[in-house]
Amino acid sequence: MSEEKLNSAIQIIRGRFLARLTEQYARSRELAQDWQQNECGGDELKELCAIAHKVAGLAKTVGFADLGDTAYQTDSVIQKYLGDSSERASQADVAAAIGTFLASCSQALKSNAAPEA
Amino acid sequence: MKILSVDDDELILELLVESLAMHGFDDVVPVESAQGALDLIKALDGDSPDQETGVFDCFLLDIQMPGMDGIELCARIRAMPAYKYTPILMVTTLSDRKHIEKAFAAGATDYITKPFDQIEVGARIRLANMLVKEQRRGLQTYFLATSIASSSGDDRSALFQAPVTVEGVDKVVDVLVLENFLLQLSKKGLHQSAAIAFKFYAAQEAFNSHSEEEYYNLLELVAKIISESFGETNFLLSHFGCGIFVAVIDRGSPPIAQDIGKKINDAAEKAGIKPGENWPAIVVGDMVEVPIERKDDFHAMLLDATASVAEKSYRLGKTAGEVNKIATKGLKFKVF
Repeated sequence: MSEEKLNSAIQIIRGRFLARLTEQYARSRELAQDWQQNECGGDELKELCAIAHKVAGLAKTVGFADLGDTAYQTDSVIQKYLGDSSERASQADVAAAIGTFLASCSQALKSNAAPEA
Repeated sequence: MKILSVDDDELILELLVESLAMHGFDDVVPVESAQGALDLIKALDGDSPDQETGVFDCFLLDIQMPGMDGIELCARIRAMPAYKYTPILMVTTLSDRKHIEKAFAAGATDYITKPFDQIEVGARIRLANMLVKEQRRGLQTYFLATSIASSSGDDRSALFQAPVTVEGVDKVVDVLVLENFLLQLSKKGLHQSAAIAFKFYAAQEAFNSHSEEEYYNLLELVAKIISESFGETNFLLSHFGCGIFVAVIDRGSPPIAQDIGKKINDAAEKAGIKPGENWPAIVVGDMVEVPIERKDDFHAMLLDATASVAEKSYRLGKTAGEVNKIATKGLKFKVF
């Protein structure tokens, strides 16, 4: 397979990534709201973490470098908060990370016509 | 080359299939779960637990998946005789030390972090393939050559220096795999790592007076004793040749016992490895950290650790000048 063919395949995967991101963004907003209303919110955070993890694995490769970094940070901060890491994060850290992640998702969806530079 | 790629994200799987095709790997089988992978292996390879070759030539495994994770899958695949030496590359977003160490301890050959570079992934598969061939050849050559040497009466000292892989002991890995592990850590800085070396003091005599298989079994026993002495400390251990083992330790995990030397030697004596009149059965070197001025240089850390145990052996009055020379030679020519 040539590099040209690979690039064309990546464009197709990028389109499907964006379609999936639309759903992931909507679900993440719901989960963030539920988490803020619910004091425990462990399940919501775990699902948010799984979404961020999935986004982090692919975003950069399909042209969304900032979103990839933000998703990776969100995944790490939530894991630290949930105790899955030796380091710890506060509730405020989690809220800030989720806010940035949602903003980054929204921005990527708005600018879906062209990859980030 | 037939590659099994396991990831719960179908888009990642598609991307891997396309990227690998560009590198000439056009026989990639994508599977979305660890259990699915095990079922497929069983279906294609059958139930025979002793078969020597399997259908797949390489595995690419994600770590974080629902149900069974990629590390457990790696350990299960590695436990199959058909895949004892097959390259297993972890392809994951997780880049923390805990997961890297667990993956290598479970039998991973290499570790690629997502988002992966499409060019890099093909190159890493080729490298991993070369590494396991080298690993396999090393072990086969060791047994073959020792057998020829013992029957012909040739000098076997070169074989004594070989960093032969000790298999089947928890957290003991091939030297080349240890190097891959350290390369991964060095990308993040080695600030949390330290190395400590151990010398089976009478290794040379044991090598000279035992058959190759008996000596290998002895190395396995020493590796087991050292491995078990670490308790809660996170580590990976390799045999560097000449009866010298080096452990790379995570300083962020519980520290090793202060009396680790006593623990090891008590266990060695219980296992029938007797100390000499003036020396312990297993000499323990000093804990060595990466020099501040060379913070990414893990070779320096390994060399300093082996030099420390060689020097201690020398002080004990044995042929340690030779031990030192051999250890250094082993590091330069056999490992790096």
